[in-house]
Amino acid sequence: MIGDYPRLGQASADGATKSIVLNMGPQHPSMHGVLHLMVELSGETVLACRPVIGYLHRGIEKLFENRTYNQCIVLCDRLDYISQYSNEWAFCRAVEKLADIEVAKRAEWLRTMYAELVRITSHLLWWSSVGLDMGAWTPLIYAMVPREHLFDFYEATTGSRLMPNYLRFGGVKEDVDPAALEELHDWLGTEFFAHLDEFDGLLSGNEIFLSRQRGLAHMTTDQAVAWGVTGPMLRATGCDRDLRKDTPYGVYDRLEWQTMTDARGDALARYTVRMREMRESANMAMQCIERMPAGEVRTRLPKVLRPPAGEVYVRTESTRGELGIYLVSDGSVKPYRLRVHSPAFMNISSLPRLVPGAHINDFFAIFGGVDNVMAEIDR
Amino acid sequence: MTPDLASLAERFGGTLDDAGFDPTIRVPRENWRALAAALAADGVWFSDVTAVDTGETVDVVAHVCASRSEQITLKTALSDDDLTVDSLVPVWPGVEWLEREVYDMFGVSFDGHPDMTRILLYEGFEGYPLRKSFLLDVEEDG
Amino acid sequence: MGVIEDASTPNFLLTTVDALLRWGRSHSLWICNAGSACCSLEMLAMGGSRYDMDRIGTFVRGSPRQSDVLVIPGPITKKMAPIFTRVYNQMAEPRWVIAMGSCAITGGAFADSYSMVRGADKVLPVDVYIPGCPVRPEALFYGLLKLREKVASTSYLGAGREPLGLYVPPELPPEWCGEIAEFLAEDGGGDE
Repeated sequence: MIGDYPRLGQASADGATKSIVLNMGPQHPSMHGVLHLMVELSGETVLACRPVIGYLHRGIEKLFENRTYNQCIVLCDRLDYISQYSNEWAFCRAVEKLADIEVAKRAEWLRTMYAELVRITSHLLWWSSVGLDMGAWTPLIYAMVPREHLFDFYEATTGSRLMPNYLRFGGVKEDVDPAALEELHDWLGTEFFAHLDEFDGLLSGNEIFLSRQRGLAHMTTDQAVAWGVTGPMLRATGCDRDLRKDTPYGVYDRLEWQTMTDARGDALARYTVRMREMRESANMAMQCIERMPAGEVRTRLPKVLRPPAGEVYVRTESTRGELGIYLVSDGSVKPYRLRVHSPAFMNISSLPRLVPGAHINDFFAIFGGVDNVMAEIDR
Repeated sequence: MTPDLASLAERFGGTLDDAGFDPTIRVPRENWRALAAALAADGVWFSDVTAVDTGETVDVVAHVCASRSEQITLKTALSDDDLTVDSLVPVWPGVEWLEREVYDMFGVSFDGHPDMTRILLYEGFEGYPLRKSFLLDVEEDG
Repeated sequence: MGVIEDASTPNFLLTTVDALLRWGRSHSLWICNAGSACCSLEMLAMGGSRYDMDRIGTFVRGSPRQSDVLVIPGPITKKMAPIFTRVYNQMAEPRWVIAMGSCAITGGAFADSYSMVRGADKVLPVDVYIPGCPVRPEALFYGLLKLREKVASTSYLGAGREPLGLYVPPELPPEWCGEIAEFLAEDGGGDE
C-alpha cells in the first residue's frame, strides 16, 4: 500500500539477527540542524528510520496569537530562515487577501524579485550541504561566494543580511536604490552564471557523485502526492505542479519562465531540478529588474491593522514547496489562529518511506535531496 | 473535475458554506473519514490538516485541493469531553505527521493512527499549548 | 618533584611552560558543531572565505571530543537543553561556551514561549555572550577574539589543575531529559 512503511523495531522481529538503532543527531557534523534520526540498521543496510523532530520547537504559532499583525512579520522571518522573503510574502498575502488590501505595483515586482533571489541563496546553501553529505568540503566554501554577494545586496537594500523584516502589508518597507539593482542585474548576468558553471563542473559532472545519486530512492508522482510532498521534490518525479504557475501571484504571470521538472524521480533528479531552478530564478530576477515600473512601494494603511473576522488559507510556492498560511481572524489586532503549513515538514515525513533497504552511506545522499530546515519543520 | 460539494455535504449529513474564500464543508465527526474518502476517490488531494480552538469546540480542519487552483476546506467540530475523531491516514497516508501535531498541540486523538505520540514537544510535557485555555506564563522560570 | 606538585599557583619553574600552553590553546580554539537555527548560518558564513575563521586557528569540528568551544547559535528549547548539556560534558577540558545571539542569551524573540529555555546560562556555564539577531559574522569573530583573551589569561597549571568533571546544571528539570536524567544526575561522570 502506498502508505505502509517499516517502523522501528518491526523488521528485526524474525529473531535471527539483532539490529542496532543508531542515533544520528540532534548534534551531528552535517549541516542539517537539530534533527534526530533514529536509524535501525542490520549491518550497513537501513531497515527503518524514525525522524524525531521538535528540538527547535519555539511555539511560534502560539506566539503569533500574542503579537499584533505587524509584529508577526518579524517572527515570520525566523520560520524558514534561509528563504526569509518567501515566508514574509506568504504571511502578507494571507493578511492582504483577508483584509482586501491592494498591493502597490512596484512592490509586487520587488517582492517577486526578492523571492527569486532568496530561492537562489537557499539553493546555494542546499548545494553546499549536498556536497558536505557526500564528503565534499569544497562546495561549502565555493557556494559562500555568490551567497555573500547576495547578502551584500540584501543588506544594502533592506538593511539586514539575514532577517530583513522587509515586507509590509500592501507593499514593502522602502524602495530600492536603482544603482544597486543595476549592479545586481549585471552580476547575475555574468558572474553568477559563471559561478553556476563552475559549480556544475565541480559536482554535477563528477562521476563519483553521479554514481552515488543515480537511481537512489525512487519516488513516483502518485507516491509524492499521497505523502504530501511538494516543491522541487515533487517536480523531480515529473509532475509540474508549481503554485507560481497554477495560482499566479506577484508578477509571475508576466514573466517568461519555465517550471523545471525531471521525470527520473531519483536523488539525481532532485539535484538536477534545484540546479536548474537556480538558473531560472536568476533569469526571473533579471527580468524583474528590467521591467519594474516606477511608483510607490507602500499602501496607506492604519497604524494597527484589524482585518475583518473570517478565515483564509493561502498557499505560496516557497523554496521547499507549498507554504500554506491558514489565518483565522476574530476582528482584533492579533491573529486568532495563524497556522503555518510547512513544506519541509511534509518533505521530511517522506524520509522514512524512502530509505528502507538503502545502504547507510546512501542514507545522507537521500537526505540531501529533502533539503530540510529545522526551523520551518519545528516552528 | 470539481466534485459536487453540495450533494457531498448532504450525503454526509453536513453543511456547505460558500460565503468565504473557499467552499467549506462541515460534517459531524462520525462522517469525517467517509467524506475524505469520497473526495479522495474523486482525485482530491490534501494540503493540510490542523485544528482551531474556537472556545466552545475544537474544530479539526482539513484543507484539500480539488485541482491545482481549487481549494476546499473540510471541518468537523469536537467537544471538550470527547476529543477523538477518525484518522485520515488510510485515505491520505501523508497526514500522519500532521495528525500527530494536532494531537501534540490540541490533544485531539485520531482513531486508527499508527503512531499517536507527541511530535514537537518533549515526552513529559503537560498540557496542549494551542488550546486557548493554555496561557503563556511569562513569569515561569526556565 | 615536590616543589612543582605542591604548588597551588604556577611557580617560576612553570611560567614559560604555562605561557606556551596558554598561547597554544588560545590560538587554536576549535568549535563544536551544534548549529540549531539562524545564527548557525552566520557561523557558516564565518567559515567561508570572506570572514575566514581559519586564520585565527578556528574551524568547526563535528565531534565534541575534538573541540574546545561549544557555540550555541540559536534558541535552546526544553527538548534540546539536555542534549547541549550532554554534548558539553563530552567535551574534553578545558572547554568553553559561547552564547551566540539573543535567543541563546535570554530567549530572544521567543522569550515568552512555552518551550524555550530563557538563556543558555541556565543549562551551561557560558563564557562569552554575543548579542545580535542574527549575529553578524564579524560580531562572532569579535566574540571569539574576546574568548581568546580569556583563554590566554587562564592558567590550567597549579590552582585549576584538577578537571572539573561532569557539569550538572542546577536548574535542569528531569521531565525535560527523559532517559538522560540519570546520566546527568550521576556524580563524577562515568568513563566519559
